[in-house]
Formats: sequence, C-alpha cells, structure tokens
Amino acid sequence: MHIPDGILTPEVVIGGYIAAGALTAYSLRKINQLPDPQASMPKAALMTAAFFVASWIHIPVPPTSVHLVLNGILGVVLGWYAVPAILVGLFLQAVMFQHGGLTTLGINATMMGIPALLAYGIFQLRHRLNLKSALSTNIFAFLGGAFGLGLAALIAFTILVTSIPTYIDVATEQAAITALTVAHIPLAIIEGIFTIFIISFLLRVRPDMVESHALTH
Amino acid sequence: MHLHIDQYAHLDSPVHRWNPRTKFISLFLLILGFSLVQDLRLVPFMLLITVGVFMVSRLPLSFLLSRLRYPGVFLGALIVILPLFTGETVIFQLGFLSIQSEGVAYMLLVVSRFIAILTISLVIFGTSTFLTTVTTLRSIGIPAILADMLMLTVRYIFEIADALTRMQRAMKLRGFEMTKLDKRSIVQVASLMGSLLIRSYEQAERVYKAMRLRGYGAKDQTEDITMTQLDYANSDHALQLNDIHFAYPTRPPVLNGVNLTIRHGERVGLIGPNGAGKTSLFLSTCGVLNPNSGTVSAYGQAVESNKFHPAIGLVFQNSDDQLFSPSVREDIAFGPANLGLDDETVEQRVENALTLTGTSHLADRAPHHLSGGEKRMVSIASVVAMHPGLVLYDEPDANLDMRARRRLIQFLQNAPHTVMVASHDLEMVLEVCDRVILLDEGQIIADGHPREIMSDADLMLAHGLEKPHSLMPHIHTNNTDNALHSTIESVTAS
Repeated sequence: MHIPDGILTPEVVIGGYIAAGALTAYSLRKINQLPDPQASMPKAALMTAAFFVASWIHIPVPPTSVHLVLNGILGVVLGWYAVPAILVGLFLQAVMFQHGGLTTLGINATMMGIPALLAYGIFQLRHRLNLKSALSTNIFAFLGGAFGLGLAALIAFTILVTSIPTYIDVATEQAAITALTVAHIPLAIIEGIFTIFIISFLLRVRPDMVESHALTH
Repeated sequence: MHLHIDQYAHLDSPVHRWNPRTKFISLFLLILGFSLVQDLRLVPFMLLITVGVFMVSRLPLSFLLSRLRYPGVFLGALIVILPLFTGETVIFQLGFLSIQSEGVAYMLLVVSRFIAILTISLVIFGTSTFLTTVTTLRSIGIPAILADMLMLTVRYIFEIADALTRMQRAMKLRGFEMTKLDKRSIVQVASLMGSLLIRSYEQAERVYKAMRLRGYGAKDQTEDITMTQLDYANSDHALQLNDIHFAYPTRPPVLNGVNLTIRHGERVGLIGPNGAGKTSLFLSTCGVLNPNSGTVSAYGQAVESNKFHPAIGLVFQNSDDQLFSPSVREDIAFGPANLGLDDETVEQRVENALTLTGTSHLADRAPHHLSGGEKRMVSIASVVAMHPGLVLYDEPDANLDMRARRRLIQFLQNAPHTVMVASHDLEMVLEVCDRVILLDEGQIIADGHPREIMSDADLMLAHGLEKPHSLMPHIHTNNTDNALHSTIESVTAS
C-alpha cells in the first residue's frame, strides 16, 4: 500500500505534500491542545515503533501471506498522534527498506493518515451512541480496522490509475479502480477481524490504552 | 535485528564531507526535479547526473543493489504491465499479447525516474549518520515533536523487534506456528500484537520518567535550573525525607512514615525484601511519585512532584529505559542540554562524564548495541553529566557479569557524589556503603553501619534477607553447615 517514487505526476507529488503538510499541521495543533503533549510524545514514538514492527508479522492467506497495514487500529489507539506516527513510520520505511519513497511521502501519508483518523472517529462513535456492549465494541473495532485499510486502498488505486496514461476511457478507468478496490475487500475483512481481537486483548489487559485513547491520559 | 542504516556513513568522500544541511536541501531538490521529468529525451541526462553523484559518494554498488531488492518486485511488475496495457501503437504482437510503443516509453520513463530518485535518496541518507539526518531535518524547520518522535522510534524499533522475535520463538517452542487462518491462530497472533503494544506503552512510561529526570521539558517550568550551582559540600544535608506516606490507588501503603536524613558524601545502601518499598522510596525522592503526605528536600531545595530537580539523579534498573538517544554521546548530552548550557559546556560535560565512567571508547556507538555492563556505565555517565549532588542507583548490578560488577563497585567506591544504592547484592553493599538502611513494609527497620546491621542474622532473617556470606565464619564444610542450610530454608519459606 505504498506508492513508490517515480510513478506519480508532479501535480500529484506536490499536491500530496500540501495535503500531508496541512493534515500534519492540523494534527499537531490538536495534539498541543491535549493536557500534556510532552508526556504523550514518547508513548506515541514507541507505539509507532511497535506498530511498525507488528506490521512485519506474516499472516498466511493461502496460497501466499500478507502483512497487516494496521492504520485503522493505529488511529484507534493513537488518535491525533496517528498522523505524525504514520509520517514517521513511512519516512523510516522509505529510508530503511525503500518501501514507498521520498517524493511520495506526502501522498502516502495522506492516503494512510486520513483513514486512520476516520477509524478513530468510527471507534469513538460508540461512545456518542452510548453503545457499551462487547458486541458493539467488536463491531466498531471491525469497522475501524476494515475501513482504515479499505479507504487507503481506494485512495491508492484512484491515484495510481488516474496517474498512469493508459489511453483508456473514463468508464474503463472507473472499472479498474473498482476492481482493484474490490480485490482488497478480503484483506480489509482480515484487517477488521484482527482489529477486533487486538482491541479485545487491550481492553482486557490495559483498557486505558483504548478507552478514550491512550495518549490523552 | 540490524538495519545497517549508518553502515557507510563514515566513509570519506566529497559527499560525506558536504555540509549536511546543504547536501540535504540540494539533493532533495534534485529528487523533486527528477520527479518532474516527463520527456524521455531528458532521461539520459537524469541518469548521468545520478551515476555521477553516486560515484562521487563512493558508496559501494552492492549497497545500491541490495536496496533495490524490496522494490524490485514492483519494478518488475511495471516493466511487464506498462508495455502491455498502456498505449495504442502496437510494435510487437504475440497472440493476444501486444506491446505498445507508448507503454514501453512510459515504462522506461517511470523505471528511470524510480532508479534515479532511489539512488539519490540513498546518497542523502547513506552518507550521513541517522543522527545527523535528524539534526538536519530539525535545522530546516520540521516540527520538534516530529524530530523527537523520529529519534525515539528509531532507538526502540530494534528493541521491540527483538522482543517480537523472542516472543515468536517462545510461541514456537510451545508448539504454535501460524500456518493457517483459523480462529485460534488469529487470537494468538492478535494477542502477540497486543502484548507488543502494551510492552511498548509501558516502556514509554518509564522512558518518559527518565527523560523528565534529566530535564526534559524543564525549560517550560518555572523552577530555577541554576540550582546546579548549589554548593553541595556546604549544604546541611543531601536529602531529607519527613514522614513520607505513599500508596498506589486501591492498594495497601507502600511507604509508611519514612523519615530519613542523608549528609553529602555518604554512601548509603538501601536493602529489603521484594516489595519493601525501595523503588517507591527512590521515585518519591526524585519527584516521579507524589507522596500522599510528607515532604522531600534535597540540598535545601524542596522536591516537587513531577518537577525536575537538578540536584538528584536516578540510575534506572533497566538501562534501556534510560538510554533513549540513537548514540551514546547524544544520550549523555541530553541532560546538560536541557539545563540550558551552551554547546561548548555541554560537550565538556559529556567528555568528563565519559572519562569518569571509562566509556570514552563507546561515545559514537548506538546504545542498543552495547553489552549490559557498558549500558550500565553509560546510564551512569548520562546522570553524572548533569552534575547532581545525590545519585540514586536502583539495582545497579542487576544482570551484570562479574567483570562489569567489579567495575561498577570500583566506580561507586570513588563516585564524586552522594550515593544511595538499592540492591539485593548485599556483598556489593558491604563493599561500597558506609551506612545501610533496612526497609520493610514501607518502614525503616534499621539504620546504621552495614557490618553491624547485616551481621545480625535474626534481624536479616525476620525481614526476608540473609546474612552475607562474607560475614559468616567459614569453619564448616558445605555438607555440615546446618546453620547455614536452615537459614537458607527459612528465607526460602518466608
């Protein structure tokens, strides 16, 4: 789910940096309004490292295996810190593993960051709707996790398909985007299921990491 | 796990010697320029510049090729797909497959741009240490919170990855390996990920305490950090605790009316069984914990909860909680820099601390690559560089081998500050301390000369301790020393 260097048009590269800059600035503004933003920074950094490492775990999906993206649960746990966390994580992946790239850092961060924040919003909805049962927690955890990956995939494929001059008409282009996104639905479901079980585990062992969200404490 | 991020950062080339800030800005603009190339006729020039910069950098070709391994799959896919599905002008037809000229041209453009940008990126990050890169990013204006997060993330990625490897190995040794996507496997792997997150979260809490104790955020507080100018030697006392009570919410008291005065220059051992309150006493002493009642002062200045007190240093039991910077030198400089000292003074303090602790040869190493003993001495150096009057050592010899332990003892015997050391290693306490305090159930049970207190076998036994072996008369063989055996059995039973 990382767009590499060299493939995007200059307009998209520049637009990606502008969008990521605005998203990061807004998130940092929100972070500075938290009770003790300095206290939360080390937690956000170590959780970024932990998400980074957890995404290396192989999940067998016969006949191959996949890695979880975890941007949905990252949003659920880190809240506004998810945006700087994703930016830091993508920068390190580009520098260390050449996953993604420097010129596409902006667009990749936007593509992953917006769904993460929306996943956070979805998970918090259960408080607003006053739904406290385990079932509703599981449903919202699933939606957060699946939506995080699903939306990121939709954005990525839209950008990729519209960036490449395929000499095909708009209808075919839309069909390609739909087909690629639909192909990712099973992965979004897997991501959602894992999110349910990770959230359940955290609620059992360290509920303060999930309730509200960990970094406002 | 090793990512070799700084593998070739210390080579000597014009690019390595280039001012990091100028290098970063120039080469990043070059990369952005490459991403604007739309005309195939410009590709040879782009590749020529790339090859030139790479050759001047003297980075090995194998380094570049190894970095192409991961994105190679994507590159391969582009090489195959673009000529087949992009364009209208067929230049080659094989059955239903046709290769279009526009697709080939576009593929060449994209692949060339990709390789050029990746190569120049490698030159930017491969010719400077990661620390220099972060410093450069900070100097060009990226928000401090992003730079700090970047540093801490890199510092702890290795540790967390190692923890994951250990946990996966433990699961495998107990018969679990995820080979299919069934419910049990999902639950197990989700628990593994959850454990990883919780471990990281809890370690972050300890790291934050360590950062606060070395002045992180102190500039935002109102306390007078010129307290470092205190005249330690002429103060009435190094530490004074008055009737300290502390309990964690909904739990029994951990500290139950502790009164204590320590004079400057004393070496005080704090002994007691597990759960006696030793660590809580240390954390209350340096302001990390807020006592429910009572007062703490160090060198005549009150210690306030959650506020930095430069006269007190704490060496944590786990060095990895304390060493949070990507290099030893940076870690030692962290505290003095937070005191608002100028660069020259900070550097001087770092050199002095390295010399005092015998760690000068480790200055440019990454903390996570050090041995346990080296980490311990660097932790001490990071505290000593703050010039505290009193240093609290929490289990300083835990997990050290004999040689590292001996080195630590020799350092503590000659430390230029007041020492308070909490330890289960009673032999070390005997060697280092001129006073010992026995703590149990949050109360001071005994306070006096180490030999007098620790020779009292009944007193030691009553509080879950054992008389040190060196204080026992060696007149019996191991097989007939019933008194010793019964003592050990009693301690074990209690």
